[in-house]
Amino acid sequence: MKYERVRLYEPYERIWHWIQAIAVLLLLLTGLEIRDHVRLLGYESSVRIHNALGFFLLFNAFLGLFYFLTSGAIKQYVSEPRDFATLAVQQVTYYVRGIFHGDPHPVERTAKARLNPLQKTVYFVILNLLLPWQVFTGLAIWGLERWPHLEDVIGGLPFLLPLHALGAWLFAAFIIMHVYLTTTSGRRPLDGIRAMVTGWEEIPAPAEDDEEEATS
Amino acid sequence: MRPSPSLVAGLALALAFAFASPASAGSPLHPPVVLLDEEGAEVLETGKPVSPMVTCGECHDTDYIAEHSYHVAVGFDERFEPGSVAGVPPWNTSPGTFGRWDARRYRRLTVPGEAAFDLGVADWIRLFGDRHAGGGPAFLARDGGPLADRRAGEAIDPETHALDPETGEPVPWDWQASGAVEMNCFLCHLGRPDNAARIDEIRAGAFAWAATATLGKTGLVTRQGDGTWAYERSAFAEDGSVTRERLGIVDPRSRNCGQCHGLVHEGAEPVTLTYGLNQWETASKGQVFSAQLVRDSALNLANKEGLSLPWDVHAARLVVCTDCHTSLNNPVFFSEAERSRPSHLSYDARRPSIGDYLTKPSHNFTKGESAQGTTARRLDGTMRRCEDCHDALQVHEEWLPNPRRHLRTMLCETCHVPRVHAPARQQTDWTVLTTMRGPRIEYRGTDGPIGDPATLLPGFEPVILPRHQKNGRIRHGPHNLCTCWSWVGGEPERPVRTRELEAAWFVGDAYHPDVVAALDEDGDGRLAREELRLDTEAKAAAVKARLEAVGVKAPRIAGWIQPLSLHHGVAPGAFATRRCETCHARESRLTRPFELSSYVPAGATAKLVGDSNIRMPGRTFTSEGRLFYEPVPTASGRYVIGHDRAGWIDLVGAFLVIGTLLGVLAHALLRRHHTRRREGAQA
Repeated sequence: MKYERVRLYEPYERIWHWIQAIAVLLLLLTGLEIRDHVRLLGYESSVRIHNALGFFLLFNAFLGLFYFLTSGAIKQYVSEPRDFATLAVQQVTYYVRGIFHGDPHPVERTAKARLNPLQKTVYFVILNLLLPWQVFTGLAIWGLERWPHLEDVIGGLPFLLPLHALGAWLFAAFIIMHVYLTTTSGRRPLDGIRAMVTGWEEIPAPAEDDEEEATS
Repeated sequence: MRPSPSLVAGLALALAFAFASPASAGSPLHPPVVLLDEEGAEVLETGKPVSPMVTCGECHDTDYIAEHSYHVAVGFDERFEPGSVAGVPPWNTSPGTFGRWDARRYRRLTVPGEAAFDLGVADWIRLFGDRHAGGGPAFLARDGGPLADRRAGEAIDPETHALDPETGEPVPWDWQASGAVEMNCFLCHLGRPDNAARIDEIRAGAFAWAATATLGKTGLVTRQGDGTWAYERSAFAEDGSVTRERLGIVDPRSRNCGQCHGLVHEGAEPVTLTYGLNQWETASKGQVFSAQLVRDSALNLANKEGLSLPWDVHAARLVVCTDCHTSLNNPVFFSEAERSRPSHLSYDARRPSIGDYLTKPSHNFTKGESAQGTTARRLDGTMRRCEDCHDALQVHEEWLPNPRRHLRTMLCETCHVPRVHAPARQQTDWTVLTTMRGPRIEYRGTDGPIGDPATLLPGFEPVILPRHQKNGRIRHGPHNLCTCWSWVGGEPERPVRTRELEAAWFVGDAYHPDVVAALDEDGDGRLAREELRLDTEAKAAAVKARLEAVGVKAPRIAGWIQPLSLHHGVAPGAFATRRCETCHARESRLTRPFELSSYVPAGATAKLVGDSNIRMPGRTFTSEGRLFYEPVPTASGRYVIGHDRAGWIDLVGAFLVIGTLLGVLAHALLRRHHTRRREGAQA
């Protein structure tokens, strides 16, 4: 199989990604300390950092949304109904069988379509459900300090904090899965992660008749 | 023409402003006083007891004052029929000292018509009068007439009868001989009231002389050899009056309040404790109102050198009791709190003039909302709280995450009374009698026998409990919990009287052989203090049999838990709880088990008294024979971050994360295995 080196990620996308990744990891870490699962920085510091990071993550999410909307990169995340089910089944089949036999990826990656159907689905859920879930519950917990009457509207800490914790667990599970699946995307295990650092990755070259669609 | 009291008061005020030296001791406003008896005649002439109501009533409306004072009424104006109020023992007849049973005193005011006579009104005065300002139930009968006019009739009535200590039977009380106890203005308004002499007269049943005895340190009166009081003519002015300097009239000081409420310590002498009920709140809650540094006390406190904080920061800042517990109509202090002020009114300018106030000063003082302040609940929350004087946000916002939420849900005392350094009563066990014929009392905050100078006093951490405020909010604050065990029996059920307890426990001066046989664990034929506990069925049955033998019907052991709010003993910021992890951790102090009793009488359970505004969400449990209470904040709708967690969510979350980890690990290993196999085949 022939491979070619293509630029998959724009600089802003990579910066945005790593900022979000660090923020989420630190949020998880400080969240663990706030819940007294670990002792690192002290409760007070963890609360302050957690709150600040929460707002930062929200701000960065809006910046990202603005970028993806204006650059058209949002299309990467939108699943097309056509062949979606078939491709998704192929992708699942690849992960449970093909990958062990050295089969090629069932969905060809290009700079303009670098996500497989499963990734699109997961990112859709993460960005449209889980992130807003965490943002909403986090904001509500933070907001109870300033607007105590919110307690009557959206519930108090006994209601909100478990929901926020559940979101955190889901994020943690996602990160594990996300990092691992990244190792399955390239020729070598670390290619995917390297691509998110450098922007470049070697991906299978398109067939001759599709060559004109390939990006060099 | 007799001048009106307000005119006199106003003139006195004007004269005082004109001539008084600001630095002079005592009240600079008060004119000389002519001491009068109840007939309005000068006591110098009649030799009769001083009547504060008449003497002070020359200028002040003492009737108004007596009617507007819960210190006088102590529940007399809030009486109810026994059993008519839910949640309180069926033998209670008021929320105040006059009718509310309290294990610390144990004795019970007899309900009219009740066969089991315990305390008559005269007995009540003799027992409780040490902590009563006089007037109210000590002066008036149930129908509003003077007690001093009452004469015993055929029927036994607690108002006209008292218990004969010899026979234990009710006998007529001679009110004409004893007189009644008037509201005693001197007790709180003299700089040096002779409270001991006052109490002596009350204990002796010479009620009418109680107020006169209070003047014992003024030089105006002296006790005669026969126990009566005589007036010292030389101490009076030529016109028969007494100057304010001689009388020592002052604005009530903290030590005046301390006479009944607890230890108020002033001066340089090291703080000492008596643990007696004369230091009521100190013995009950361990609170000392003093500016002295705790380390300078005479107490054998643990880690004493580090306790360089005052016993109470307010005392150290020269705040006195009346600065917070002000008269409700004092125009100087009056400022309607935001919480009770109509929202459209930012400031209510209406207030009485100084003259009007001095004539009719309400002696209903502003109250907090303590658990034990059952009297005059209608006035709960009238006192300015910490946040009404301190801008807590200003100093806490700098470092405390979510300061508003903390202040909304926690009383300031939660962090500012982090520890009580003096011991406080933990349990009062009236199911057993000591050789002093009193209950066995245990204290918390001590490592050994109380009162022994060698005993180390580590102090204790109060338990944090939710308080249900009048404004509907729930705020958590520090408390001591005082457990009482007692025998109850009879029909209707009442606490077994001390007379019957003594008859059951003693033969002459010795313990009854049946009791000794049941409780003497070491077999030395004597009952040591540690052996005084009915913690087995056999012991409880033996004492129960003795009670039945002396005529108590169906005796059983009951238990009550009295919460006592801690609002004094406030620590300065440097000694307040500042570590977030103190509460926000798995081992949160908010949920730390709190010992209720060092043993549990067999078959007994203790329940929270029903007339406090405190709840005890959580569980009680026994461990090594000791009874504990473990608070559960979530049960009162509180979620303590760092401590509380929804178990099922963590379970699901952990399952997800661990499952994902195992899944990717297995997948990775399989990948590696297949890759190697393929590479091997290719090679």
